[in-house]
Amino acid sequence: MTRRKSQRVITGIPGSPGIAIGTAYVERPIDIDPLTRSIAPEDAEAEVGRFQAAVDASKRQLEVIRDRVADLHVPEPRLILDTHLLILEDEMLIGETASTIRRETIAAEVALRATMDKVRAAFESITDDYFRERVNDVDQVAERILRNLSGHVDGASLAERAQGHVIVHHDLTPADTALLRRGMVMGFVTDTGGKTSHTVIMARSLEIPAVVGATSATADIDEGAMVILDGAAGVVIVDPDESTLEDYRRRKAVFEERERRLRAGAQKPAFTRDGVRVHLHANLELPQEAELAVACGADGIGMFRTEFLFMNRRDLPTEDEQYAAYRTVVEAMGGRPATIRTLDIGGDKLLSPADRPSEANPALGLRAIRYCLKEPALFRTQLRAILRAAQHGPVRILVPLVSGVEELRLTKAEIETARQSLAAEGFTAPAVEVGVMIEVPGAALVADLLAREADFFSLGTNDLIQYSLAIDRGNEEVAYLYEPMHPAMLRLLKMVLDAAAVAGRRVNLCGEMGGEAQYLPVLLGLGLREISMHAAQIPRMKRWLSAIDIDTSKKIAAKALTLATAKEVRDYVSSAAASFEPPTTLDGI
Amino acid sequence: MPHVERTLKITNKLGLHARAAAKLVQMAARFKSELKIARIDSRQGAGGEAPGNKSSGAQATDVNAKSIMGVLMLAAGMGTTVRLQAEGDDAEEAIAALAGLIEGKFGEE
Repeated sequence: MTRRKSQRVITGIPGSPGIAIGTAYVERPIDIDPLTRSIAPEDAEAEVGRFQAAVDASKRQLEVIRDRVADLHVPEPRLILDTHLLILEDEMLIGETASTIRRETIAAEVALRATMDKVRAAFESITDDYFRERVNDVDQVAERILRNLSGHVDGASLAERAQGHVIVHHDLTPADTALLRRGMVMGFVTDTGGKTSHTVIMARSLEIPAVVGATSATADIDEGAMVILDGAAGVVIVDPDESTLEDYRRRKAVFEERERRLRAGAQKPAFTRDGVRVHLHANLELPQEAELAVACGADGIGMFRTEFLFMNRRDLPTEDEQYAAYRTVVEAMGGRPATIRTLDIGGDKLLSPADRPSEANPALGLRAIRYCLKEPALFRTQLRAILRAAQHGPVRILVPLVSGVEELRLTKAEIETARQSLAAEGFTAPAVEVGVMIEVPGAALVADLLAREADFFSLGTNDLIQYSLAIDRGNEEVAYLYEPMHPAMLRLLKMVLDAAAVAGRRVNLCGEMGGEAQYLPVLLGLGLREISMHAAQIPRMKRWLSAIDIDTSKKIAAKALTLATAKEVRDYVSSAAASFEPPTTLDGI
Repeated sequence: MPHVERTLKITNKLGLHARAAAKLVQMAARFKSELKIARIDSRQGAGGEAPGNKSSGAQATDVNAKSIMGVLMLAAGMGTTVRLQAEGDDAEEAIAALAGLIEGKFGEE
C-alpha cells in the first residue's frame, strides 16, 4: 500500500482547452554531459563532421515526422515543422557553431551551447512576447541536435511510451506533440512554454488538452500519480480527493457534450428562419483541410485554391502529383461537390522569376486564366489532373479572372482538348461543370452573357471591390476606400445575381465578406443562396442563418440600394443585421 | 553587381511571424543574390535606439533574409517598415519576389 498524498494544485498557463483525468507519465530532461573538453586542432574538421552528421540526422527525423503529420486535417503541424527544418539550415545556428568548433577547437556540444547562449541573449532583448518566445523553437532544434550528438535518440515515440496517460514533460517540442493523437494520450503539462509557443498551437490543432509553463510539474508530479488537467484554466490537480475528482468528471462530461452538440448541429443543412435552404461551402488552401470542412458541416468546397501546388518550389508539379492532391479533396468530401479553381497566379510567382519580364502593373497583367491560356502545356496538365480526379466524386472547375465570354470559350476548348487526350489514353472523364469567377467589373457587367455559357458563378468580392473602386488594399494610403458596402458594390452584386437568376445559374460568394454575419441579411435579400468561407466559420454562420428570414432581408436589401454612401449603407446594414437574434443555447461558438 | 533596395511596410495582421518568416526565407533561398532585410522604424530613426547606429537616415541592423532566425529576430509586427536590399545578378527579381510576398500579405488575408 502506498501512502496516499493529499491533493495539490499546480498552476501553469492555459494551453489547449479540455479536461484530462488519468495517471501521469513523467519525462524529465536528459542530462547531457557538461563537456568542457577542448579538442586537438587537427581533430577540428572531424568534429565539424560529427556535428554536421548530427544536424543531418535531426533533419531526417523531422522530415519523417513532417510526413507523418501530412494526413492531419490542419496545416499547422506541418508548417511548424517546416520552420524547424529551416532553423536546421540556418547559418546563425549551424554555420556559427561550425566556425566556433574550428576557431576555439572545442567539442561540438560545447560550441553549440555557446552559440545558443548568444542566440538566447539576442532574443531576450526583444520586447514583443511572441517574437521573444521564438527562441524556444531554436532551443528545441538545438536540443535535438544535442541528443543526436550524444547518441541519445528515442526509439519509440513519446506518443507510444505515454499511451493512455497524461504526459508530464519538461519541454515538449512541437515535433513530439505532432505525433500525439487525441484518444491515444489524454493531455499534457510542461514545465516550460508560453501562450504562443508552437507546442500550444499544435495541441489546439490536435484538440489535446494542455497546460504549459507549469514550472514545477516534472519536479512535483510522481510517475503514475493521479492527475486532473484543466487546459482552459491552466491548472493541474495532483492526487485529487474524491469530491474534486467527482466534480471534474462532471465538468469533463459537460465539456465533451457541448463539443459533440456543436459538431452535430453543424452537420444539419442550413435553413433560414422561414425555411429557405442556403448552401454554405468551405474555401480550401490545402487538401488536408477538406476533413475539417466536412467536420464543420460544409455543403461542399466552394473554392479550392490550387496555388499551393506551385509555390515555393523550383519545378512544376506533375500531373500525378496534382491528381493526388485533388483526389484527396474529392474523396474527403464524400459525394459533396468540390470546386477546384484553376491556377490563379502570374508567371512572376512561378519558377525562376528571371525568366519573365517584370510587369509594371501585375494586378492588371498576365496572370490567372490569361497566363494559363498563354501556357497551354501547363494548363493542360492541370486540367487533365482535375478531370482524372472527377472520377472519385463531383468536381466543378472554376476559372479565375475571366473578363468576358471569350476567355470562357477558350477555357472550355482547353478542357475539351484535355478530355480528348485522356480519351485517347482510354480514360473517359466524367462531366464536370465549368463556372467563372466574377471578380472583374467587366465580367459583372456582362453577367447575362456569361450566364448563357457558364454553369455557375463565383463572386470573388475581394478582387471585385479592388478593381471596381480602383484601390489596392495593400496600399495603406487608400486602403480605407476598400468598402464592401459601397453602393457600386451592391449594384454589381444585384446585377450578377439577377442575371444568374434569369438563366437559372447558381451563384456562390467566396470573398471575405461571406464570413461576416453583418452582411448576411443584405446578401440574402439580394438573392444570394450559396456562400463560401473558411470552414471554421460555418457552424457560427449556420446559427445566424437560422435567425434571419428572407422577407425582412429583401426589405433590407431594397432599402440599402437607395442609400448614397458606403457609410450610410454600412451603418444601416449592420444595425439591421443586429436586430436578428441568433439562438444562444450553444454559447462560445 | 546590381544593387537593389526597396522600403515597404508589413501589412499582414501577424507581421513576420514564424509562418510568414518561413515563406520569406524559402523565397529568398531561391535567389543567388545576397539578400538583407532591416527594420527601419520611426522610433529607431528618430532616437537611434539600437546601439552602433550610424547617423544616416537609414539606421537599422541588417539581417540575412535567408536566415529564419535573423528574420524572426527582427520582431517585425504589423505596421513595421522594413528595407530590403539585394546584391547580385538576380537582385531585381529577388526584390520583386520578396516585395510581392510582403505586399500580398503572404497569402494570409
